[in-house]
Amino acid sequence: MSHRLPAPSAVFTALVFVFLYLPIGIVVLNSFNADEALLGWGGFTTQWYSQAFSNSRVRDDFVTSLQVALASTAISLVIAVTAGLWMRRASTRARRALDATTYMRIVLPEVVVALALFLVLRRYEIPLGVPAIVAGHVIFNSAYATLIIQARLATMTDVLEEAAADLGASPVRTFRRVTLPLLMPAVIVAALLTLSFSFDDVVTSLFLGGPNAETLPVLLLGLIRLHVTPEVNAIAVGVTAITMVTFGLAAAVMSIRDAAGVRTGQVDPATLEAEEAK
Amino acid sequence: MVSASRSPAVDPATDAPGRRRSWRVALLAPGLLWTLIFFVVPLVVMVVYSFGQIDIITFQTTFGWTLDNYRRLANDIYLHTILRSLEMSIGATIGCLLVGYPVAYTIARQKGRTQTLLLLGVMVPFWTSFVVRTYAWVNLLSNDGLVTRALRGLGLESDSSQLIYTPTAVTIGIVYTYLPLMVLPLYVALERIDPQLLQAASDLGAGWFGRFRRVVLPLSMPGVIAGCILVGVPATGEYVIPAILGGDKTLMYGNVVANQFLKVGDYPFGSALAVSLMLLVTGFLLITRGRLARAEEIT
Amino acid sequence: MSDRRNGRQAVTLRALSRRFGEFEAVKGIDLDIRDGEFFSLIGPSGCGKTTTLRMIAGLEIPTSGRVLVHDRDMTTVPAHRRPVNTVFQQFALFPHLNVFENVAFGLRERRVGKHEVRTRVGQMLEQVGLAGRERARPRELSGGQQQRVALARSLVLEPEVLLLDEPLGALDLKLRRQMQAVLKTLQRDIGITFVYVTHDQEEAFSMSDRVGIMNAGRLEQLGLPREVYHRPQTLFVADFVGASNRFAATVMERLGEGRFRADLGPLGITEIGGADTLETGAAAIAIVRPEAMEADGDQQLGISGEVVDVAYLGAQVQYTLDAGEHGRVIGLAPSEDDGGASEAPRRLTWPASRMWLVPG
Repeated sequence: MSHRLPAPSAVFTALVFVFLYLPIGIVVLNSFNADEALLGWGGFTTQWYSQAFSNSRVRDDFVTSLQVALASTAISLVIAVTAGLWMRRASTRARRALDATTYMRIVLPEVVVALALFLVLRRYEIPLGVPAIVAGHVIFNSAYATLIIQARLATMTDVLEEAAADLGASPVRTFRRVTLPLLMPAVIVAALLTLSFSFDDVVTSLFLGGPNAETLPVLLLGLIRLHVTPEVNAIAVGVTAITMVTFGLAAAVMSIRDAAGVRTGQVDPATLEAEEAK
Repeated sequence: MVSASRSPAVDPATDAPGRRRSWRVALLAPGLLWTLIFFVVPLVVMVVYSFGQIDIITFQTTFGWTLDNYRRLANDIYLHTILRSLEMSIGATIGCLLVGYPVAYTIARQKGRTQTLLLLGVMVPFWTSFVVRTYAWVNLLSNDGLVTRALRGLGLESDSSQLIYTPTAVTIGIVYTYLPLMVLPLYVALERIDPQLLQAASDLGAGWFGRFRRVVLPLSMPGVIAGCILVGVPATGEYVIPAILGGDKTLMYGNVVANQFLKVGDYPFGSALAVSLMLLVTGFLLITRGRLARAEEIT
Repeated sequence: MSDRRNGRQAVTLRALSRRFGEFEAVKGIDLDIRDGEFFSLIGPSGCGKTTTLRMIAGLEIPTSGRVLVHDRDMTTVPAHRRPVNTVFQQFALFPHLNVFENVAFGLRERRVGKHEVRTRVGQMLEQVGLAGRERARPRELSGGQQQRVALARSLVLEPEVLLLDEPLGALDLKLRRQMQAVLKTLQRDIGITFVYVTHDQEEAFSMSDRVGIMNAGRLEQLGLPREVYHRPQTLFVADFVGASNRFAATVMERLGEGRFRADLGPLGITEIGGADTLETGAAAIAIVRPEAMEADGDQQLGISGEVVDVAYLGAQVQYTLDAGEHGRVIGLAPSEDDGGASEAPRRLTWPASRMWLVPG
C-alpha cells in the first residue's frame, strides 16, 4: 500500500505527532526551567535535578523501585520459562486452561486484581510492603513474560532437544546447553519488558505498598496531586529516562534477533542452492 | 499389553520421551502456585466478600449471602458515576479511533525506512513513564497551561472555566496515553490489505471514498476491534489518569472502587463494585471475541 | 575399532509395538540387524518406519516388545544413555554453536579432555570433507555441508549403531546421488552398523546390504535387495520396489519350496516360482516386471494388445498395451536411435522363469 500521500492525512499525522511529543517535551523543558512558577522561561538550570537527587526520599524510593522491579522480574521469568516448557508437552485442555489464566491476568483491570490482593492481606493481617508489591507485580509481569517465552518456544522444534539427548545429554544438560541458550533472546526481551512495567507501575504499588514502601511513580503521583513543584519535573524526567532506556533496549534486542536470523535446526533453502551451484 | 520391562513412570499414550511425571509437575508448580495464591484465591475471596455485610461501628464483616451491596450499585450516586465512567471510556476509545485511524493509514502506506521510523515515533511516547505522560497534561490544561491559553485565545473557553479536573481533561488524558495501543493493531490490519484489491476496486469504478468505505474499512475491522479492546478495556478500570486529571471532581469507576477499600473501609461494598467491574469487562470481552473471530474470517 | 561384538546381532527387535492412543503405528516387529551391515527400512509415508527407528534411538518408548543393542536390553534405557546415535532428517544442528562445537557436543557430554576433543573432531571433519570450516555457523553452510556435519557429530562418538532418518530427504537429486555414494563408502570404511530409513526404494537398494519393507506398521519382507526385488512375498512389496504387470492366477499344486504349478487362465498352465506362503488352491497374482517383457519376440508366454502409449524415457522406451480383459500391460525395452523407424510392438512376450506368484 504505497502511493503519494494525499496531503490531508500527512498533515493530520504530523499534527498527531506534535500532539504526542509536545506534552512530554514541555515537561522536559520545564525540568530545566529556572522559573519556579513556570509562567515563562526563566533560564536554564539544573538545580531541580540536584535538588531531586539530594532528596533522600527520592533516592530511597528509587532503590525501592529497583528492588521491586528486579525481584518481580526474576520471579516472573522463572514462572514464564517453567510454564512455557510445561506447555509444550501438555494436553490441549490443560494448555487452553493455562492460556485462559494468562490472558485473564493481563486483561482484568489492575485495580481489581490489586484490591483483591489487598483484601486478602488485610483480612489475614499480613503486612503490606515490598513483598506485597512484588507479589502483585508478578501477577501481570509473569503473564507478559509467559506470552513472550511461549512465542519463542513455539518456533523451536523438539528435534534439537532430541538431538541433544541422542548425543548423550540428560534432560537437565539439554536444558542448559540447548534450550536455554536458544531461549535467551526471548528471556532478555521479557526481562527488559517486565523491568519496565514494574518500574512504571502505579496502581499495584500504591495499593500494596502501605505506609512503609513507596516506589518512585507513587511518590510522583503524590507530589502531582498535592502541588506541582519544579522538582517534580526533574523526577518525572528521571523516571521517564529509565523506562525509555529499558523499553528501548527491549525493542533493540527484538530487532537484532530478527536481523541475525537464528534458525532452529531447519535447512535454509537459500544457502542450499548457493553452495551446490558450484 | 504392558510388558514387564516398561518403565511405569512413562505414559505410552502420550509422547514424552524419557521425562518422568515428577519433572512435569515441578515445571507446572511455580506458575500454578503463584497464580492460585495471589490471583485466583484473592478474587474468590473478593467475590465472597461482595455478599457480606459490614458493621460500620466495629468494622467487622459478617458473611451472609446478601445482595445488598449489589443493590447499592443501583443507587443514584454510584450509578451516575459508573455510567459517566463508561461514557468516558467509550468516548476515549472513539477518540483514539478517530485520531489513530488516519495515522495508522498514513503509516501503512509508507515503505521501508520511513514506515519503521514512523512506527517507532508512535511507540516511543509509550516508553515514557505512564504517570509522566498523564502529568504532562496537568501543565497544559491548568489555568496557565498552554492549551487552556490557546483555547481562550480562540474564544472556545471563557476566562473563568478550567479545563483541568473535568471529564474532558480525563478523556484527553486517556486518548493521549492509549493512542499507540490503537494505532498498532490498526496499522497491522491495514498493512495486510492487498494493494491489488484496491486496484481492482478502482478498476471497477470506485473513487477514493468508495474504495475506502467498501474495501479498506471492512478489511481493517479486525484491527479496529482489537484496538478498541486494547484501549477500551483498560480505560474502563483506569485509576491514575482520573486521579491526576480529574481531581476530586471527576472520578471514574476505578477511583470509586479504590476509595471504598482505601478510604472508607467498606470491603463488602467495594468488593461488589470490583466484581461488577470484572463481570463487565469479561462480558464485553466475550462478546467482542465472537465479533473479532468473525471479522478475521472475512479477511 | 574398539570392541566390535562380531557375530552378535547389532540390533534386535522383538514384538516391538507402539501405539498412540487408538492408532497403532507399529504392530509387532521382529527384526535382527547384523553387525557391520548397512540395513535399510523402507516403506511409504506413515508405515511406521520412522517410529521404529526412534524406538531404537530411545526417542520413543515402545508400548510393548523389546529393543536390544548387541544383546543388551535397551527397551527402557533413555536416549541419552544408549550407545546409538541418530542423523536427523532436518540435520538438527545447534544454531547457536559453530561446526566444531556441534561435532564436539557429545564428546563434551562425556567429559572428554580438550586435547582429545580437538584431535577427534579434526579427524572427523577431515573424513567428511569439511576440514577448515570449524568456525562456521550452521546457517552459513549448504544443505550438503550441514548433512555432513550432522554425520560427523554422530560418528565422532563411535556409536555401536548409527541411525539415519531420511537424511537425504532435504537435498536435490544430484546431491542425493553424491551423498548416497559417500554414505556407502563411509560405512564400509568405518564398519559401523547403519540403520537407514527412507521411502525411496532406489536409494535404499543402492546402498544397503539388506532391506526391510514396512507397510502399515508391519514388516512385510526382509532380505537382500536382489531377493526382495525378484522374489517379493506380497503384492505390496512387489509394487513398492518396482513396477509389475499383474495376471490373475490359481495355485494348482505346490511343487516344493517356492515352486508351484499355476493356472494362469488364458496364458495357460505353467510351473513358476512364488511366495512361500502360498498353498495349493490359493488365489494368487502372477507378476512380471516390465523390463522382462520382450517386444514381439518368441518367448514362452505372451500377450497381445493395442498400443495405447509409447513413452521415451531416455535409456528405455516404455510401451503400454491395452490387452482387453487383462487390462493394461507395460513393457520396457532398451531404446535405440533409429529415428523412430521401428513400430511399436503389438505383442509382448516373456519366459515363465521371469514370472512370480504372490498371494492375491
